Amino acid sequence: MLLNLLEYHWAEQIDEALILLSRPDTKTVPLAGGTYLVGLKDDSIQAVVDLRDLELAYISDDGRGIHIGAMTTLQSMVDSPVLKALANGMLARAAQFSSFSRLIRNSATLGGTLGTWVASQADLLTVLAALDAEVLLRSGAQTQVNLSGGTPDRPGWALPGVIYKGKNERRVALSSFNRERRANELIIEVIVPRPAPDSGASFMRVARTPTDIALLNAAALVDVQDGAYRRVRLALGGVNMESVRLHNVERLLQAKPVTSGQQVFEALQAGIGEFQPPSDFRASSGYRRASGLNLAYRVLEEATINAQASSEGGM
Amino acid sequence: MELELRINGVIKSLDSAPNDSLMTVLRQEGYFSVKHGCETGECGACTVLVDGVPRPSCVMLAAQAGGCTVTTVESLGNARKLHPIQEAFIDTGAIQCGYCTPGMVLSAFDLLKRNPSPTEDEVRDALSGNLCRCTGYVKPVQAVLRAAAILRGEAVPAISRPGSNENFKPWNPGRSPLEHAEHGAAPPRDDGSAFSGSTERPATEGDGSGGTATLVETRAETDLRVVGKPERKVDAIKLVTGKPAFVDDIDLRDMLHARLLTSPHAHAIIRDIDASKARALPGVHAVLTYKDVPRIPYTTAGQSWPEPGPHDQYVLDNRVRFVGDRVAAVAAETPELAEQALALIQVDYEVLPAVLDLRHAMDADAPRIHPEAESYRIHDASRNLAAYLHAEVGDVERGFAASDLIVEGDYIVPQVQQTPIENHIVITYWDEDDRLVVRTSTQVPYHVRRIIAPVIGLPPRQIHVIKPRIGGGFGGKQEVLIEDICALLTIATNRPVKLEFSRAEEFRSSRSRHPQILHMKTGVKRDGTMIANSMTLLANTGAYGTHSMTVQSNTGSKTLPLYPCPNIRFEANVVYTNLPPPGAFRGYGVPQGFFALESHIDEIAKQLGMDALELRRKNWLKEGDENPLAKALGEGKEGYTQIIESCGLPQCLQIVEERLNWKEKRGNPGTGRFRRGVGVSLAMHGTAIAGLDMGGASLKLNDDGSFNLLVGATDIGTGSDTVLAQIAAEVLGVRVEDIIIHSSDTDFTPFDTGAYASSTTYISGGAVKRAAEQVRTQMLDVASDMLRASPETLTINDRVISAPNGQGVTVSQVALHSLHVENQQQIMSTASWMSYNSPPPFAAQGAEVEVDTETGAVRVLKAISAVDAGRVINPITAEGQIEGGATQALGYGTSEEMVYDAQGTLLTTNLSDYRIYSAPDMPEMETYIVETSDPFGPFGVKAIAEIPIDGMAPAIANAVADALGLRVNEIPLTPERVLRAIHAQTGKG
Repeated sequence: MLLNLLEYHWAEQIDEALILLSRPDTKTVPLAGGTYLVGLKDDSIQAVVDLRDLELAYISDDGRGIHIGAMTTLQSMVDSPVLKALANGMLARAAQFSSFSRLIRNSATLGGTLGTWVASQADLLTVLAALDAEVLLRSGAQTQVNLSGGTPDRPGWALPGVIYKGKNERRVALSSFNRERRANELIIEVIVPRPAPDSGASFMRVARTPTDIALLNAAALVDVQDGAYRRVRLALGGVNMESVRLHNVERLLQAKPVTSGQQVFEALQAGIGEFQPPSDFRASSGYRRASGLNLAYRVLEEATINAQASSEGGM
Repeated sequence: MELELRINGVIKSLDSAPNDSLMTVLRQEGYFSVKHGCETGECGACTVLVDGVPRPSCVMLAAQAGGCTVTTVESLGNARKLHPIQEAFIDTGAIQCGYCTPGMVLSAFDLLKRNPSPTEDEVRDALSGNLCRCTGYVKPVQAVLRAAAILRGEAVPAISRPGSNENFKPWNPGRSPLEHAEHGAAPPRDDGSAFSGSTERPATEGDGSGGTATLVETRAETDLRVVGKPERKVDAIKLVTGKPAFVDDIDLRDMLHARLLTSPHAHAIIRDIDASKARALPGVHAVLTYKDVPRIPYTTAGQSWPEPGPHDQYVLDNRVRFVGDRVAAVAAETPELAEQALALIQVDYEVLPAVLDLRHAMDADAPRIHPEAESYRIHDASRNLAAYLHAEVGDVERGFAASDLIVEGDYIVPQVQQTPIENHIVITYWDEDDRLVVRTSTQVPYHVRRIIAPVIGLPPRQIHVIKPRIGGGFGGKQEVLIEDICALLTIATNRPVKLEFSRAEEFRSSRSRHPQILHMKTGVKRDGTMIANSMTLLANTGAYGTHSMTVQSNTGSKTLPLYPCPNIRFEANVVYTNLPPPGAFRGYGVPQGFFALESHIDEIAKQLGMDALELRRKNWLKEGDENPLAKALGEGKEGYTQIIESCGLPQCLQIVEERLNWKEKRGNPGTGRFRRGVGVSLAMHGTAIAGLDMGGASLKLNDDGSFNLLVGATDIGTGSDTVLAQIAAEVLGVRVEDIIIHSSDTDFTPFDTGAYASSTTYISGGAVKRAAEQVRTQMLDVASDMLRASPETLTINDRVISAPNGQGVTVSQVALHSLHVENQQQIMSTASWMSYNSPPPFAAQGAEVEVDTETGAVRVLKAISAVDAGRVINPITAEGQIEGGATQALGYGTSEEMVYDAQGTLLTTNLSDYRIYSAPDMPEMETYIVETSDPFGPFGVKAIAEIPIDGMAPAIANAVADALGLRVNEIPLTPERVLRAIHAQTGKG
């Protein structure tokens, strides 16, 4: 329960939401689906801004990439024909596995998932990392501090007098999103670059039951041209950990001919050191490293097969 | 804040706080179908449709639904006109405790609106957010598919129940049957139709089963009319329509909300506690600490008097013994105020060393967990030994010496939780006669009354315990867990008080299954004949002894007799640790024992080079055998000799062997990354506790031919009310709808030990049968006067009592005559029943698995259960028991485990980290009921509730061993455990 929640705001404009979120004297947080926030026992939260009326629930394709609005629910992503057709459907599948519960997928949003990040326990994070997704963030472009809004105790603090002019939007790579995000920025959408036509993708996961949270997951997207890897993207992740792109493995495979699995295995052995998963009560770091290598091999294998099939028959 | 919601088509303006959840607001408005099961949206009991989309309302702020339409199950249908989905849930037996049912119905409603022709996988996905701990999802999935067909206008197989009241007409007493007789006319039937004198029952449509299980009848066909038939559950309509039936579904004026402050330390002395600030908080009405309550040792184990386990618990104590142990209790005007008050209680702890590893609990330098002098019935408090058990028949060491092969093995089983969807909840209040009413979610209302009485300082006569519908118990509510403290808060405040656990509290502070380390040592001849068998175990009872002795006693007494060799030994040390105490959990020690025994049998077969089933057949218990341990190892005392009078084990195993395709698949795992294996486990259990369990029943006849049946038996969702009504109806020659059953109210119903030990159908059913036989005799006496025929010549069939000459009177006419006309008397009786026999049910369970050798992930592909539970009173509820029990065992085998950090704090406190199976997780499931008839129970019944949970985990482990050629001796079979075993064998890692 949010014991000290005193204010509830329905924002109808993004700027309105940003103003509310910027208030320094009232801890205000954005409210998307609520599945994480409402279950949180955070007594410091004083106000929420409901984002449902901001018209940020959409999935569109501009030819270069797929734009997924921050308020798009996970279930909408599961059901989206656009996402089912993208990257062998791995983004839609990852949305499906991001919660075992359809009820939660009906409520939880993409923006909320990114906002809660690792705590979301969502497979989406790994797949979005493999897809080179970017996050569009917006904040106020200019803040004029109205000194008259201060109080004798806190001179200079802007209370009601914050003014926003224009908008300040920036795109942040998902892989660095959690490091680069700033307070008071609102997630607007996620942009997934459209994979090359001759690419193939794969997503796999390990869990105690088929729909359980992932102890470990892996996603790969590979472009194959003329029998060689033109580009490889490989990410590992799972519950309670940041998804990690294995750049060394990607580089080692780039431009290499698609021949045997041995070279993939060797590249993984050489580059798996980038994957430093945590130990927790669900699984040990050692287990995750050992299985991660196997799982990475398998997603690369399947993605390659899918890419070859795409090259032959079109995706 | 003002909020406008359109709820079930009605626009409502509500005044709510910004932090009110939608669930809270809806329940405040009286929509009780919206249930509380967790605070994370994971259980789905709080499902509502928001603008037509099913969502968990516990993780929605009410304001999020502002301006939206909200639909609850109350709007779908009612008792007079059910929605086809609700009908289908009733017809297929998809409702057990019913706590998750409204949510499931709404999820199904949404699915069928979007997709009128869903596949089974789509149905499972639609139900994925509605966790159910009772059904195994088999029948709910069937129900949705059936409803879909009905809504598409397709014909579906009829599930017509014997005694369906579709043609029932209003009752009218009419003229006296004597007048009819005088005029030479036949009397009208109670249902308004003309009496023909025929004994034929109305024809029923279809096969009537409605279920999936195959009923394998090994008994002769009988002329039973109600027993053995798939009657609708008597409580189904109120559950499927979301009627206020559970503990929390009442509004009491001025009710206070209680919260517990619990220990953050695994072991500590409370040097001082200052509650003055909390008490000063406006709206706080009581704060109780150990300084405010009497220090009386008691046990929370809801068992018969005198409870055999340690009396080592205190309402509140100055020593806390696990993280989650009680420190203080608060009653305040709102839950929020109570929460704030908890934060104001200042506790000065002296943190003590803790024992977190059961293997070190008896070390000489281990801290003592119960040094207090007042506690009693602890086996050896100085060694942290709560209970010790030893039983031996024959001479085991000589048996080992005479064996050709001795096989030893260690097996480890985890602490797992019952996880009912309804958490522990109790409401206490003073009634108008200043008697304390305890409305509680319990399996043991009579034990609650007796056990809390001295603790709260009231005589039992001043306590009235009411058990409404229960949202699942599975043994966890055979514990008198929170009734005492809530009662003390009512005594302190003179106000009604509600205390309800959150899901995290349920995990941290309620009960669970005992974890054990078991050592098996078995001696066999080369031909597989077992000569000696020994089971030695170390069990962890956590901070308190509760069921420590009796659970572990069952680990030996219910498992080792399955292979009755001449030399058997059982020894158990049950130790205290500073972890949350386990207690009773469906299976009651037996799943632990069978995991060890049945894994071990496969290992013996492997070493002998024998087929694992052949080894079992060579050594198993047979009809006519004496249970070798029954006398030596009773429950809390010496037991009673038990002869096996019925045993369907051969048929059960044959079914599982065939359905698993054993001969082809066993030992044939394939090659490559994914390996497949099949495994089997046998199991036996008990039916009630011999010489201890007792139930009572009262029955009286009403004017209209209906009967009030009052039983102390506690229906916790198992369907026992229905089964008991069937037994009464069978004996009385009437229909189930003629029986108005009321269960479990200490003021109005007779004593019953409660819903545990798989006893209700056998023990309480025996009481009902006996009471019904006595009422039947009284009815026949009256009818004989009316018909001028001797009672022994009369027969009763379908509400009509007939004389050999074709004359007849209805049961209603008998009632009217006896109440109003001549020799007036109330036809009624009260009877009780107990037994010194505990006939074991038997089962064979099988699993097929696929193992990923690169990650260790285990996927159960198929789970088969074949169960001999004697005669089955209601096949549809019996199937439900088997499917639900087997599903809980799937979790025991693969995914469920309570895990702690190094300080003893539980880490698995939500339904993601503690993983119970959801609908899409389920493997293909097959259920078979092998009917036998046992001479002791009513109509030949044996138990069914616990046996399905006993063998599935070892069957899975044996299947994994078959797939990999190596044994993982610890469950759950998590990917990491399996991969480590693979690496250990291959030398990796």
